[in-house]
Amino acid sequence: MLIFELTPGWVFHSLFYLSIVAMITGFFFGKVKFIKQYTLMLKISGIIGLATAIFLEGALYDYNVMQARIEEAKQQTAEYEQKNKDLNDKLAKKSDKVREKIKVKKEYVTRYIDKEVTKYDNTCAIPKPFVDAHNQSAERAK
Amino acid sequence: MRLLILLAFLLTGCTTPPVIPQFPEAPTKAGAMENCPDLKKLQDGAKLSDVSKTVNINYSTYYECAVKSDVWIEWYQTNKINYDKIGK
Repeated sequence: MLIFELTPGWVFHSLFYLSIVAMITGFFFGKVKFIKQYTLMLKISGIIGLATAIFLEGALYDYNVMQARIEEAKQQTAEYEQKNKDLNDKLAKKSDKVREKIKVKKEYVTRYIDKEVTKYDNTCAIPKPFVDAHNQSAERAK
Repeated sequence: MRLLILLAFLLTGCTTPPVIPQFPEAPTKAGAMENCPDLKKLQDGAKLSDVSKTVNINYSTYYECAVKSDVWIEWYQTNKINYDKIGK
């Protein structure tokens, strides 16, 4: 709330205590010589001031609670974002490890093919329908 | 008029500035944002070893792509748990 951002808290507390002082003075010391002429003004301003001060004190408390919650939420958000970064780093390391294993396996199988399967290249002819079937399966669905 | 201005000041308390966490960063370092490549095809007149090599390459391509999918699954599950903890 803008009013609480611009005004220091002691202003509201002062209003609260001054209103109480004004009311006590107006109601209990109304017959004292120098106060007598201000009694009505003290009573009215005391009541209005106290009502306003109670409202503002309540709003100030609510504002402070809300600010604390916002700070907490900001902290949690920062933690969440940090956790996400850590997770991404962890996933990057994990996937690099798996990719490396796949690469090694692929190279091993390629070497095996070069060594063992090539022996049968001349004895086994691959028919064209086989090639077509394979290529159709390998094609991305459109 | 003064009363209206005062009320406007007080009513600003009804709007609480929201704290929204930034949309979580995608696991780009894990290569999850890259599209999976097309599978390799056989040439006409391919030999048995060519078939084996192509199958080997295609299987490797599949498993490399599966890594991306696994990354996304883990990324989502962990992020969901972390996100649900906010505000509790």
